[in-house]
Amino acid sequence: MHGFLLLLVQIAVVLVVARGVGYAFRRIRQPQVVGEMVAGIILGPSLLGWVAPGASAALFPAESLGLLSGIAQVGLLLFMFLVGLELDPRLLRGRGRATALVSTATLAIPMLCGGLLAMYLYPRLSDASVSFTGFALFVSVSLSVTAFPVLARILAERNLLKTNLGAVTLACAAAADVGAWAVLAVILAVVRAEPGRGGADALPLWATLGGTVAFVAAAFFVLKPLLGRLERLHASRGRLTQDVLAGVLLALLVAAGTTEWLGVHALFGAFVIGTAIPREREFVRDLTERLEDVTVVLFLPLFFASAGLRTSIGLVSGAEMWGYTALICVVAIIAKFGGSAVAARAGGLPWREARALGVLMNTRGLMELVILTIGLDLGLISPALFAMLVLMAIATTFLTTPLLEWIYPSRLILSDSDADDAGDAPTTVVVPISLPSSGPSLLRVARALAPPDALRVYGLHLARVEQQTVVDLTEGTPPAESPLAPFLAAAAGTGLDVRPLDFVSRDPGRDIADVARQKAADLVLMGWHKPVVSESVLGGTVADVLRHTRSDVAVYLERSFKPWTRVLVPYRGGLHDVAALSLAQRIARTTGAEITLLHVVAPGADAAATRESFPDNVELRVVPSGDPVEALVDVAKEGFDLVVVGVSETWGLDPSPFSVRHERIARECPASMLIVRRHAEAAHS
Amino acid sequence: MKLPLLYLLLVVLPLAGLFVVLRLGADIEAPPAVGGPWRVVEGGRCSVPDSLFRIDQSGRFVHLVLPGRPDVPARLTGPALAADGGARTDVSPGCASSGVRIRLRADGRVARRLVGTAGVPGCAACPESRFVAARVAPDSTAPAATH
Repeated sequence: MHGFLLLLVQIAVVLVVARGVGYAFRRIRQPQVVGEMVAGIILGPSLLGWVAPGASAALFPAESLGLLSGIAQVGLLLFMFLVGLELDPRLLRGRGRATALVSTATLAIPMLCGGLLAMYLYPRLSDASVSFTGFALFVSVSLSVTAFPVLARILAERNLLKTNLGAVTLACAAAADVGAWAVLAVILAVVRAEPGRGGADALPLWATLGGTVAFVAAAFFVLKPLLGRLERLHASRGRLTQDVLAGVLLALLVAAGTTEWLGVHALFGAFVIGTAIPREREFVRDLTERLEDVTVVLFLPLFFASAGLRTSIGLVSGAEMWGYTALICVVAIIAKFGGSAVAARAGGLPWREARALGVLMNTRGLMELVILTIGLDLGLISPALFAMLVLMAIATTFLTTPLLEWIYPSRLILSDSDADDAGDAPTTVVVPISLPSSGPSLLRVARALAPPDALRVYGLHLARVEQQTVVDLTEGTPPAESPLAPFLAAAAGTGLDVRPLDFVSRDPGRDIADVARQKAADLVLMGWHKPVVSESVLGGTVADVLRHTRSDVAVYLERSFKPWTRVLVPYRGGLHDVAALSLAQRIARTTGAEITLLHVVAPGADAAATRESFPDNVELRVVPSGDPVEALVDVAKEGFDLVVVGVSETWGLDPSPFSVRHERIARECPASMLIVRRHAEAAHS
Repeated sequence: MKLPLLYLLLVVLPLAGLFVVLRLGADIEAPPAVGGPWRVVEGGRCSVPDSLFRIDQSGRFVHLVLPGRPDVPARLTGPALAADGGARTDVSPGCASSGVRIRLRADGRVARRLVGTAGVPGCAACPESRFVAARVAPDSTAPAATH
């Protein structure tokens, strides 16, 4: 196949397999990046090359891998830049001396364990072309590294970012990453200065080390002010122009080129320049948004494929080799998990949180793979040891989520975080918002439920996992483009107690239910917008919320924004009808709207007798009809602004997934609708 | 516990331990480096038919990669390399299912010559005989070739 055509095919195959395996891993509650790492191995000699060597040779011929690897390396530069960009030095400030102790110890203890492990592995899995010092330091670093991006994502997904555990863990991970890269730079300098390893143009050790120190100083004292000018240009234009982006990329390339020339690898320069970018929030956010998607979706899978093509698990053969692999995994886990947990406990964290920190710090993921490929390129580790360490990286990252759930379950996280503000308002409403446009109309419903001084509203935005890879770690109010922004803008000046909640979610339905429980919500108020594959009002995330939430749930469909003066409540006396009437009465009290109860009876029934069984303080319409839904739609057309209806088979609103009468009422009713579901436990409380 | 004491226990001691490990480990001997491309200089034409072959090394675990033939797994014990296996197909029909047997010795920590014997046990057409291979390029200890 023609070279360029082959490259396009390779990229397409890598993309498809990475997305597919990544999706499968998300389904089992694993970070997508673990799936993408596994996808790389699937495409390499470990699986494709083993099962279908002909196809493997045709798709990834050896002579084509240089180009693929080159593109992957450029992508990796961008990724390391993003990692540096994400590492806000403010994470390290003001965390206390105990955090400083923990972050240093989480680096030092695994390095010692790595050194001891190296003493055992060196005569078995290395050879005389590698010095023990280089080998031991490299194994030490590979055991001490933490995947900061994966860690930040797991913390965000579990709503831990704003807890004490999350703050300490992030500070430790940031310090560990900076420390690991600094140590790696020294190792690379030392190793490349060894005879026969750095090539003819390798700089002497003193020049490499001195040059690296000078480079870091220049990055922060020369380049950073220059980048500050770009940041001010960005601020004055109000957006990231192509010229500013080009300037940043140029700085990245200069930094990467400099460190590559110095002999400490281009990735180190990319990482340092990322940390040197001025921390103006909008600037960092715009840069991240502009670079993140193409890096994460396109380039990272290419890197994983490139690494996977060099990972031959077949080299790990026989009980002895698998024994070494198990030993590496055990030592890696004990060193990082045990070392971090003991240090965190000594630093003052409770045991449960200390163990959770240990589990989180044991996440090695992508950063480990980056470091291992550097070691393999330099000949510091053999292909078999590379494969063993890749397996260790995948295993430790894979273990993080289940171990964390075991040690620090979600229910404990939710009860620990913000526990002080739960349940102290007379009426608490949780409003999940996915579309910015739905915010103001949902706030309108929430405001109608109680007077401002008796109401607390949580605006909740859950970004799906696949929407976010580099996590925004800055604190404070959500940015202007957040889906919560219109909701918060509408709430400004109303005197309402509105609190934004914004985090990443793997399972929005369940997370909404958890937040509702934690905040002791009286009502979960959701908007409805037409989904892509279904017209079901009560399907998708709404169905998940209905299934898991132990509070009342209301779904709002807005037809017009005019004031509510006439409210229609279809009523047959069921549990959900009572909840609907109760909600309508609340709305009527704050808005002054009139309520009309609609009762549909069978044709020929005694309407007068029916009338006697209803309260006197509401207007009652009794309509004989064999089709309650049609009767409701007809009455709603008589100038009603809002229909508040309980979920019920009668009204064609059955939340069961197989109901065929779904949503006729939602399609045909001309008025805005509020569909109410009362939870059985809420009804009894 | 006082913070300085914790620093001593959790940071200074581990780093000092690592320093000791690096000093002690300097005396540990790794297997000789034999990975890379090699050329047959003498003998062994029936067991290693092509004049060029490659050795993939991961410590003392070694594979002899012969062009167009199955890899021959081998093991290093000190400077001694022992390889057994790999089906042969191109000698006499009676020997086709037998594997090669290679016994070599590296001439140094970064080997430049491998000297020993190679042959197919039980195959009269390919008896064990003297075998000498030389490293193809003097700088083949470069990363890609070493492992």
